[in-house]
Order: sequence, then structure tokens, then C-alpha cells
Amino acid sequence: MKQKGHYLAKRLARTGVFFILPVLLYFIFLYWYPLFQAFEMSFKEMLPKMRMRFAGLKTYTEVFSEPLFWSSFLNTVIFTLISVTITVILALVVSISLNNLHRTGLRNVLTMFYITPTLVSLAAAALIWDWIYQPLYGLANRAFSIFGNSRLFLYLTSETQVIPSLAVINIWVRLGFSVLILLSGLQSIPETYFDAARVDGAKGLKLYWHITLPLLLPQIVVVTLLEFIFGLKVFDIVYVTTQGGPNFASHTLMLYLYNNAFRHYRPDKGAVTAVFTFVVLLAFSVFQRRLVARRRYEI
Amino acid sequence: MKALKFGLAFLLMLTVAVSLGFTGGAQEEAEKAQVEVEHWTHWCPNNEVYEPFWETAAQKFNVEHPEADFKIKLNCVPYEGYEAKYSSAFEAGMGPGLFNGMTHVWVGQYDACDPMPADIAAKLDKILVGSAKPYGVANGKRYGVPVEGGNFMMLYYSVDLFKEAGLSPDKPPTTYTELLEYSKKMTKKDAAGNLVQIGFGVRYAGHPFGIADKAAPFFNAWGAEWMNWDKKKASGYINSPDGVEALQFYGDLVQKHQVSSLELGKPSAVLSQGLGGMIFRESWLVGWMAQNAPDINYRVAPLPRQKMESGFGNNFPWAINVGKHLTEVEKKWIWEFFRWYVNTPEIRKEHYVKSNMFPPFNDILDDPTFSARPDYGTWKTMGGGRAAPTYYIPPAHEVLTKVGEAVLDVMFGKSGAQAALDKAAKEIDAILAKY
Repeated sequence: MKQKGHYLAKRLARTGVFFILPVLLYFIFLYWYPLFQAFEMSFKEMLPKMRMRFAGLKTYTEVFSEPLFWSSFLNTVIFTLISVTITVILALVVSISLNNLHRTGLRNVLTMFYITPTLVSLAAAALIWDWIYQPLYGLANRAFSIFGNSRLFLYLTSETQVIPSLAVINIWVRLGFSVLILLSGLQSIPETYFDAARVDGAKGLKLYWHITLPLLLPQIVVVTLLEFIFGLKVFDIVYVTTQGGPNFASHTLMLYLYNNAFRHYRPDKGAVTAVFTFVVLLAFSVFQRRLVARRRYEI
Repeated sequence: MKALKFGLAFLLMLTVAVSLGFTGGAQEEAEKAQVEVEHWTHWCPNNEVYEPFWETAAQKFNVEHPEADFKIKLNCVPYEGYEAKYSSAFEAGMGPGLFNGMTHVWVGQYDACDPMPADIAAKLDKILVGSAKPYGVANGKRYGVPVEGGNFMMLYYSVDLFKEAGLSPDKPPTTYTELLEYSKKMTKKDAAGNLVQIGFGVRYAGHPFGIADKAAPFFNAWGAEWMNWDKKKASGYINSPDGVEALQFYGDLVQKHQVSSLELGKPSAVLSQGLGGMIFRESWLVGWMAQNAPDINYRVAPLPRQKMESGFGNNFPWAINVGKHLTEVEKKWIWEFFRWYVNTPEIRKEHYVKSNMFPPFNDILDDPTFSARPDYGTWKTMGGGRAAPTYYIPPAHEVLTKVGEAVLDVMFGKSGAQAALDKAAKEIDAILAKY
């Protein structure tokens, strides 16, 4: 009997392997193999006529000694911090407000409004905002002209305003997605917790602080992590609107990668940038997971 | 009996002969060469007719070559990002059959182009206008068919803004000093001090190699070169006193004199929206203006001079190239097609008349369509003048990027011309040292 059970377990395990095989192959060929190739390429240097040779850390040294690489990284971090902070806070406020609506129909309609920009392609969103931001004819400055100055802000054409302006586009696009995740988290919190807290005398903001936020933490972490990854990989909206300008003020890490790999024909430098980004994202993900694990324990 | 045998034998022979005849016909049909090549181009937005015409030309070629069923399928690639598509495809050995690109880059970096058969190259060399001869060539060998005869910067100016500023449209600036004077007269600010109309439109956005390209005429007019490919050196060339003076003048248009803006848009937008008096662009802009800004009253003049003529020359010598990775049959028919194209002036004339483009061929220039173009006189004057230095080298994009970074630094007031060009010279030296 024991032998028969063992045989069945083995057979089930074998069947399980067949079930996951397509996904496994997909990941191996479309993720792990290119990742391995990028790692390998980062230790090579490009020669004319598509030839490459092993160069050790030479390409890493070349990339890391370029001021444009570090300024691109800094721009990306600033963009990400602005985007993530505002998106998560706004998404939290919006999702709690939507969750408090008792009329389901109205809640669904408003949720749709927030989700719609997420359905727009990033390139299209960037073009829409490029028109809105146009300093001379754009909708934004036209609206601000009631304050007297027809060019109150320069948006994408100003070195200091370009990153916040791009972050606004990103927030506009991403907010709906984050709202959706947080709203589903809020709706899964059992009402009994709130009832118990109310019996203990908790009310108003205390309920949110001690019940809602701790129980919503896994969703907040997921949203933060996804937004962070999305922010760090920002490319489309920058490419369509500014191409890294003015004067490299919005040059991001992915633009640095793209320009080197495809426009300067230096895939070796592109590979180094990809590896660097991978390491940063991995470190952040691990840190975030550990933080959540600890917080869960505290809750 | 004998007659019957003879009759049967005759019938048999007839049947064999007829069936052989039919088989031969079917074989002939089967042997009709069927070749379809894809043509990748990022030029579709520049001109709505020029690239699609290749499909029509292939159909006309088939009429004269009934033994072939040759097709060209157009694939319009967005301008922004075309390099990524091309380079990925070539790296995978799956590039297009035909493609519009800069031959020196695709040969020098990717070895992606098939060399042109000698007879077609010889014919092209005979019929190409002088300024277009270097396009489509790499390492002294011809690969591609040049796209445009007026592929060099010219001065475009707004007649209306000239008149409004009290300037005569018949007397465009002939020196850069005059260009500055004229620009000052055409520049306008609003009450808050914002530039609302500028004298001269500079390129300040987009990839740095495009920014370098638009600054090139200034370096040329001051007699400065960016580098010496044979010596593999940029130091002493781009940062020479002439180079520094040229870039400082260019940067001063924005920072010191404020006759150029870093906000109003790219040069073509500035001219087409009536926001600027003068810009530099190539002859393709004539067709583009006809499509996008037909109400703007503009003229074209030769580039101003300073220490010398700016000269014709460019950084983006577009040419139609043939993929090296194709099969021998595909290559045979593509080159047969181009043999027919270069030897048929009527088809080339139709191509350029319909697309309102300036042809690179001297044997079809007699058509009044071309002499009536606003850039015809300028093309003649500049095309017959000095050849400005060109840098058709494998790492052209990387080198031009460094020049563009220096130009941006000065335009945005981040650095003086000397410091910016010293930095660029050092970086370009390091790039050139690899070759």
C-alpha cells in the first residue's frame, strides 16, 4: 500500500513537471538565456564589423567612468522617487475614498475613470502630454495664462521642470493600476475587524492607522515594488517626448542603454547598463521582501 | 496494315511532341523568377511618395522583364528607433532585402551591405550629381543608390518675417555676422520677456548626433574640422581656435544675443509655424513644407560664409542599400532591378517628379519641375562650390554624439566653447583609437 502511494506521488510529480514545462521553457529561452547572454556580453568589448572579444571589466570601467551614465542613473532615481511616492499616496487616498462609496454603481463608474489612462499606450500618453505641455500653445500654459504670464512653466523644455513633468505623465498613466490593486485589497479586509475595533473605542483615522493600513500592507508593498520597477525602467515616455533632453536633463538609464546598444552600436555598453539595472532592482526587491516579512511579524 | 502502323507511330510522335511542348511551357512558367524583397525605410514621414514608388517601379520592371515576378514590399519604420530595428535584424542575420540607411555605418559596423555590381556603379558615377557621389560608398566601394541630390544644409527664410522686420527678401544674409544682425531684427519678446518670435531656429532637442549635424555648417564656415580619420585624432581639430570661435558664435545666438530659443521647437517647426525667420535644413524640406505648411511664404538661399564658404556636405548621406545576407537569386534580381532603374531615365524622372524630391541624377535635371523648385538656384550654387568636410566613418554615430554633447553644453550655457570642445576632443580620440 505504501509502495503504491509512493508510486502515485512520483507519477503525480512527473505529471506536474509536464504541466509546468511550457512556462519553464518560456522562462528559460525568453528570460534566463538572454539574461545569461547579457551577463556574458557585459564582459566583452565591441569591435568593428559585429565582432566582440573578451575584455574582462574594461567595458564596466568605461561605462562607470562616464558622467552621463551616473547623471542618467540620478535622473532615473529622482523620477522614480517622485513617481512612486505620489502614485502610492494618491492611489491610497483614491482607493479608500472609492471603497467608502456605498453606491456600487457610482464606485464602478469612478473606478473606470481612474483605470482608463492605464489602458492608453505609453507612447500615446506621452504624445498627449507633449501637446499639453507645449510652452507656447499648450493647454497647460493656456490655462495658467489667467495668472498673467503666458509661459508660467516650461515643462519639458526646462532642465529643472522636465523630470517632475515626466513624472506627472507617469502618475497619470499608472494611478489606475495601483488603485485597482489597493481597492481589491481593501475589499478583502473583513468588516469584523473594524467592528471589533469600534467596540474597543477606536474611530476615525485610528481605524485606518491601526486596521486598514497594516492589513493593506502586502498590497501597498506590491504596488510600491511594481511602481519602483516600472519607474526604474522608464523609457517610452522619455523617448517620445524629450529623448533625454533638454541637455540630458531627462536622460534616463534605459535611454542610455538604448542609445548605446542601438544608436551607437555598442551593445557591450548596453549589456553593462542592463546588468547594473538588474542588480539594483534585485537588491531593492530583496530589501522590500525582508521588510515586509518583518512588518508582518510585528502585525 | 503498314498504313495503320505508320498512322499509329505518327500519332504517338505527335502526342509526345505535344506533351513535351506543354511540359516545356509549364517548366518555363515554373522557371519564372519569383522574388519578393522587403524594403525597410524610416523615410516615409519625410515624403509620402518617394519610398512607396519603389513598389510601383518593381511592377514596371516586370513589364519589361516578363521572365521575372519581382516584388518590393514596403515596410515603413518609425524614424525614431529605426536603428534598433535594423541593427537587431542584421545581428540576427535577418535584415531586409533593401533598406534606406547610411552605407558607411552599416558596412563599417555591421558588414550588412552587398557591394554593387561594377557596371551599375560605373553608370551611377556617370549620372550622379557631384554632391551626391560620396553617398552610398564605403571604403571606396559603391554599395547604395543615393536618395537625394540636395542632401546638404541650405538657408530657409521667411519672406513675411523679413518684410515685417524691414529686411529685403531679395537680400538674404551672406555672412554669419549678417545672419546675427538679421536675427536681432526679427526677434520678438512678450511683456514677460519670453521669446515669441526668433531670428534663427537652432536644433536643441533630440539625439545629440542630430544636434551636431545642425551645428556643422558653423564649424565649416569657420574652417574647422572635427577630426582627422587617417591620424585617428580629434584633438587639435575640433578644439582648434576656429572650432572654438564657431561654437561660441553658435552658443551666443542663444545665450548672449537671445535670437534663438530653446523652447519654441525644432527648426522645421519654427519655420512652418511662422515663429522664426531663418533655419538651416536640406532640400527634402521643400516637399515637406508643401505638404505641411503650404501657406508659409519662404525662400531658400545658400548658407552664409564667414572665414570661408560653409560648403555642401552632410552627416547623414542616405542611400538605398541591398542586404548582404540575401540568397544569390534574390541578389541577382535586386541588382537586375537597379540595373534597369539606373539605365531608365524616364522612371527616375517619374520617381522624383512625383515625390517632389531633388534628384541626385544629372541626366534628368532638365525637367522644369526641378528648375521651378525654390531650392534649385541654391542647389546649383552650393553644389558647384566647396565640399565641406564629411565624416563617413564606421563610428560616425558615436563621434557625432560627443560633438552634439559639446554643442548642447555651450547652447545651454553649461560650459564655454573651449572647455566643451577640449572634453569632446579627448572623448573622440578614445573612440578613434579603437579603429
